[in-house]
Amino acid sequence: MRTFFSTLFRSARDAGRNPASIRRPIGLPRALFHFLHPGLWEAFFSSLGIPVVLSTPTARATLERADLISETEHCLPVKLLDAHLEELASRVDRVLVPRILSQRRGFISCPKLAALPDAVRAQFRGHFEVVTADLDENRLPLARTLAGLGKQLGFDAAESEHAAAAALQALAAAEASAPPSDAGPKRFLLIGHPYNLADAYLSEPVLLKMASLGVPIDRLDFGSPKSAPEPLRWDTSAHMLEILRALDPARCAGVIQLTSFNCGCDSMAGPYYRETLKAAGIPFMALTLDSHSALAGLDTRLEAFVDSIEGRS
Amino acid sequence: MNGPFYLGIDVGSISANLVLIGPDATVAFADYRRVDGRPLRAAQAALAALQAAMPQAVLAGVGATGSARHLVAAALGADVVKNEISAHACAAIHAHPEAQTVFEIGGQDSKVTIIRDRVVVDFAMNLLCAAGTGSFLDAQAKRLNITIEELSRQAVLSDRPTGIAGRCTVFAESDMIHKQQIGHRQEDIVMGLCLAMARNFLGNVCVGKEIRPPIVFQGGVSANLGMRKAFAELLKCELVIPEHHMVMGALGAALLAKRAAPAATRFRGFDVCERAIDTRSFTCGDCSNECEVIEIVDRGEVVGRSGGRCRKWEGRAGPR
Repeated sequence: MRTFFSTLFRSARDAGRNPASIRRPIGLPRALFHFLHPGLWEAFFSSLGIPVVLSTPTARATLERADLISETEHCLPVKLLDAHLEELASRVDRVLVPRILSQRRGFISCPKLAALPDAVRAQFRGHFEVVTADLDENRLPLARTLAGLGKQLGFDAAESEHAAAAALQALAAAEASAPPSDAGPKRFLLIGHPYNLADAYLSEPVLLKMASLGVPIDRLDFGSPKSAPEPLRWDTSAHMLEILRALDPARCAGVIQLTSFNCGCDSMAGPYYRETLKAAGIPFMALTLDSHSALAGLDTRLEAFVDSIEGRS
Repeated sequence: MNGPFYLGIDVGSISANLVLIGPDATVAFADYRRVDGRPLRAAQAALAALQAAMPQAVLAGVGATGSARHLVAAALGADVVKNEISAHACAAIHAHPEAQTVFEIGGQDSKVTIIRDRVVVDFAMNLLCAAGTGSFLDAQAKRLNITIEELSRQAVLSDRPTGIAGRCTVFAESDMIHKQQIGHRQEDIVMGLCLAMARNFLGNVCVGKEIRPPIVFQGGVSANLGMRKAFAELLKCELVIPEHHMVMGALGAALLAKRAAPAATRFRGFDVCERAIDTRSFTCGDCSNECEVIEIVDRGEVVGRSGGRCRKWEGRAGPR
C-alpha cells in the first residue's frame, strides 16, 4: 500500500518535473490585474518557456457575458475579469490570478484584488487550476516574489531568477513614458485606474468623442506613485493624485476621470482630486463606467464639459 | 411678427418641445407635447402645429437638442445640434442673465448647472437612476389615478406633508403605499413625495456643487407647484421660474441657431412633417463589437445614421 502511494506521489511529482508538463500553457485574462503590471506576466512566462494564452480583448459580448455571470455588486473591472476567465476556461487548464496586496512599498492595493484567487477558485471550481502568488511589496520585492513563483511552478532557482529579471525589465519598459510636449494647445487629461484606461473598450469612447469634438486629450500613462505616502495609500489612486498635483494649469485644459460605479477607492479619492484641481483652477469631471452605460449620456456630458470650458476661456 | 425666424426643437425621453423665435429673440411660437415613445412622430407633429399656426414663417436656421437630437436633426435638417445641458443653460442665461444656478428636471434626467458671469462653470446630471425625475411623478400620479396637473394642485394644499423615503423610486413607492394604508391624506402624501424628490435631487445631483441664488428652475417638472414649493422650503429661497420654463431646451436650441446664423439653412422644409420618415437598424460587422447602427430613412433614402462605438457611422448619409 505504502509503495503504491509513494509510487503515485513520485509519478505525480515527476509529472510536475516533466519539462513538457511544467511548460504547459497558462491562461492570462486581459482584464484587471493584467493592466496593473503591463508586460510583466507575458515576459515572465515566456522566459520560462510557458506559452501564454491571452483572452480576447474586451468587446460588447464580454460585457454582456460579465453582466450575466458575475456578482451584481462587483465593480465593472471585476465583472469583466469573470467574463475573461470564463473564455479561458475552455482554452487552458491553468490560469494566473495573483493576489495583489501592494504594488509599491508604502502603499496598498484595492482590497478587492486581495481576494481574487479565492473568489476565482470558488467560481471556476473544476474548470482550471488557479496559479497564484502574493504580490506584496511591503513584505517582499516583486523580483523575489516572481522568482518564488518560478520555483513553485517547478523551475530551478537560476531559471526562475532569470525569468523574474526579464519580467521586471518588461514592466520598466512599459512604465517609461515620453515627457509631455510643451507645444500646441492646452490638452485634456483622462485619468483612472490602469484597468479602466488601458482596456480600450472602456476608455476609447471618451477618447474618440473628444477627438470628434476636435480637442486634444491624453490618457494618463501607466506608472506608480513616486513620493512618500500621500493622504491616499491606495497605489493607483495615489499615483493619480500625484500626477494631478503636478499639473500645469497653463498646459492642462481639463481633467476627466473614468471611474467604475461602486469603486470604493475612487469614492474616497475623488474629493482629493476635486480639491486639488479646484485649487489649480483646472476644470474636472468624473464619468462613471457601468455595464449599462450608454454612449448618449457620455456624449452629452463630454460635449457640455468642453462647451463650458470653451465658454470660460 | 416678421422673420427671419429661428427654430429650436428639443426631443427628450418624455416630451418634444418646439420654439420659434424672431430676429429679436422673442418667442413667436411654442409647442410642448408628449413623445409617447415615438420621438420622430412627435417632432413632426410639433412642426405641423407650427406650420398650421404660422404658415408664412420662413426659417433661417434650425437647432436641435435633447436625447433624440441626432435623430431629429437628420430627419428635419438642423444647422446646430447641441447637447441639452448647454442648450438649457443658454436659454436660462438669456431669460435671466443674473442666474447663478439652473435646476432642470425633465422626464428621465435631472441636472444642475452652475453659472457665473453668464458662463457655465460646472454641471452634474443624475446617474443611472430616475428617482427624482418627471417619470417617477408621472408613475405616481397614474397609480393614484389622478393627472399630473391634479397631483401638482393637490400637493400645495397640504399643510402636514407626510415623510416619504426618497432615496429610491421603488422604496419611495412602497413607503407611499404604506402611508396611504395607515390613513395619511393624499395631499400630504403627494407633497411628501415632492419634498422627498427635491431632497433626493439636492442630496445626489447637487452634492459638492455651490448652489447660489438666483436659481432658475426649468424643464417639465418645473410646472409642478409641489416641486416649486418643496425646493423653496428646502433652500429657503424662491426659485425663478422663466416664462417659457417648459420649453427652455428648445428656446436654447433656437438661440444657438440664431447665434450660428447659417448662410443657408439645412432645414428640409415643412413637408417633412407629412413624410413617412422611418428608422431601421443593422449590425455593423466591421469589428468584434457588433454595434447596432440606426439608419434614418426618408423615401427610401438614408438621410442619417447614428450608433456605433467607433463613431464612424455618426451622421453618415447615403448608401452604406
